[in-house]
Amino acid sequence: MSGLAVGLALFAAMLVLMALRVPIAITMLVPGAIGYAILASPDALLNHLKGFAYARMSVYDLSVIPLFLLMGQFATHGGLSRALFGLANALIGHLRGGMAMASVLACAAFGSICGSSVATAATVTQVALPEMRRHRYSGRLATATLAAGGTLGILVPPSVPLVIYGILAEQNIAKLFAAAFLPGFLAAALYCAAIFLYVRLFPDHGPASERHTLAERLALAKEVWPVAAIFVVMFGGIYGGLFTPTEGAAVGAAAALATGFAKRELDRAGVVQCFLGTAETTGMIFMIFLGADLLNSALALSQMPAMLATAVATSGLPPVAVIVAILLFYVVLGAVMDELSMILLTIPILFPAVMGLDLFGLDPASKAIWFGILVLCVVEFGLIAPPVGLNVYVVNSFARDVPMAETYKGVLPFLGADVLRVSLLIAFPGLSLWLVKVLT
Amino acid sequence: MQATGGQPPPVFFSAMGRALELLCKALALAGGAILGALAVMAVVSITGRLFGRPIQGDFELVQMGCAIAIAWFLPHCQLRRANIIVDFFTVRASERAQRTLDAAGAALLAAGLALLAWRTGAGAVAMKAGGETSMIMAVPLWYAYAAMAPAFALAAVTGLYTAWLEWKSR
Repeated sequence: MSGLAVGLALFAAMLVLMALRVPIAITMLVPGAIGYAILASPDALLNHLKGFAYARMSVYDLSVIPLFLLMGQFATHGGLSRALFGLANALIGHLRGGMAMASVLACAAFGSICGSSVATAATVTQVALPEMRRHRYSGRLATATLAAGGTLGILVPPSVPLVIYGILAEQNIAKLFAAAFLPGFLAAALYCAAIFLYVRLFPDHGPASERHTLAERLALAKEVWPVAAIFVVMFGGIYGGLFTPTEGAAVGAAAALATGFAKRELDRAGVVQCFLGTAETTGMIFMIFLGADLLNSALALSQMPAMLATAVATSGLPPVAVIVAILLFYVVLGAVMDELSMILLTIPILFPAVMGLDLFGLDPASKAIWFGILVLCVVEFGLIAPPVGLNVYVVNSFARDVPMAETYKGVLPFLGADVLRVSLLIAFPGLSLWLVKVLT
Repeated sequence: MQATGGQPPPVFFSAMGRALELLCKALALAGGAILGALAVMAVVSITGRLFGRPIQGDFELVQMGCAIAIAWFLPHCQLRRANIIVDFFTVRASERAQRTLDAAGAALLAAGLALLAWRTGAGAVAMKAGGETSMIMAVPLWYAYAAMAPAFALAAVTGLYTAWLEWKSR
């Protein structure tokens, strides 16, 4: 069998196993092991596996992931989302649709100390949803806002998928984070704009409410300072050249824990929950990482990625058309797969092809960063789009009286905002790359 | 443990199941404690650096500690069924078919983890024989391998246990 035939067979085996409910990590690990044994030799496989787990799990840049997840857990259980929503709501909640906009801002702010979108959606929902429903916001607008707002958790740095992308594409994590800030703000702004237009068309979905006094606003602002402090110390340290992103995550986790204790939101039982929650997510991510890595090693032996890169480079298609096609492919894939599996599976195959394209004359590093931000944006579509938008499920589970279909309907304006954002990011690479130049 | 209906599990298995669950949880908490310790170490190290007293090679401990912690998280992760699956293609299948597939999936996961446990164990032996250490702090690398291999084995056993639970609940 030729290398290409083996490569395609591995892919087919993976898809079949996936359809049969085998854990995604294993759908990649088992075909990867078999393919490696065929393309190299069984002995070579056994030898490769000796140092495999340690070598992959001890990558210093990857150590950032469990630490960021731990920080996110401390922040979630530490009641920090309540303070963020409280302040945003006091500032703009009285406007028509203002509480929904405040939820978006709270999500963006929480995302700046949390690298996971489901966690962001869940924690902000718990504080913002009851408040919106009490002020007669429609279930559709309230739940959709929170499902979409949750995606800001991974778009605004820190971001676990972006770390994974950085490892696979061999790019600097700090630069990738810098590139994601402006797209993150843009996303929050466009979501607020979507809400603004929505309540113009349907005023009864997000009625205006009472204005807060200056004293109330100042009191709530005091509650928010720990989040701001954690953010400033963490990213200040990283971009001030004081420490690495991994150390930044460690400092952030320690600071979030201290804040939780100081606010008396965290006790010993809470810390145990945080550890166990971190264990679940970390274990899940690294199992997929191991599986994808072994499959990609086998695919590399089959020469498939190199052949694909050559085929794309010599196809004569306009480079931007290739990029758009890849992004559409992610949207389709996102209907059935989670964002990390998609990135882990596809980047090693597609990245060489993308790097072979001439895009606006960008240098390789800039091209890699820009493409990473685009991928990060489109893999989020799957989180809020039918048929299995994970964020929609999570938020909807807090609102038993709102049918799932209502939430999906409400998500449409936000998907529109997403499409607009991705188009802007494609057309203007500077949106992603400008801050990288300024900060690093 | 979820109540699964049907016949109650044999006493021997349920006692073993409880022991396994405790072990998984304890290992996960120990992994969490490692992460916590690494976070504290980072704060100390950065403070030391500011005052001209850096800890040389602390990043090696971060690498090893994280690798061990991640491995220690795997059994609990599987016990909680946190290893995600694609259910898109089987939502219309019968409950019984879904549980059967899940049992097979968990068994396959156990096989994969058993392979990793075996090879990482072999790696530990090779590392010890070769006397390989980290570059700066000269920590023997086989420590990390030896800490990880049993966790993979426990995760494999947990995979079999969850496969059995799925099979039983059909």
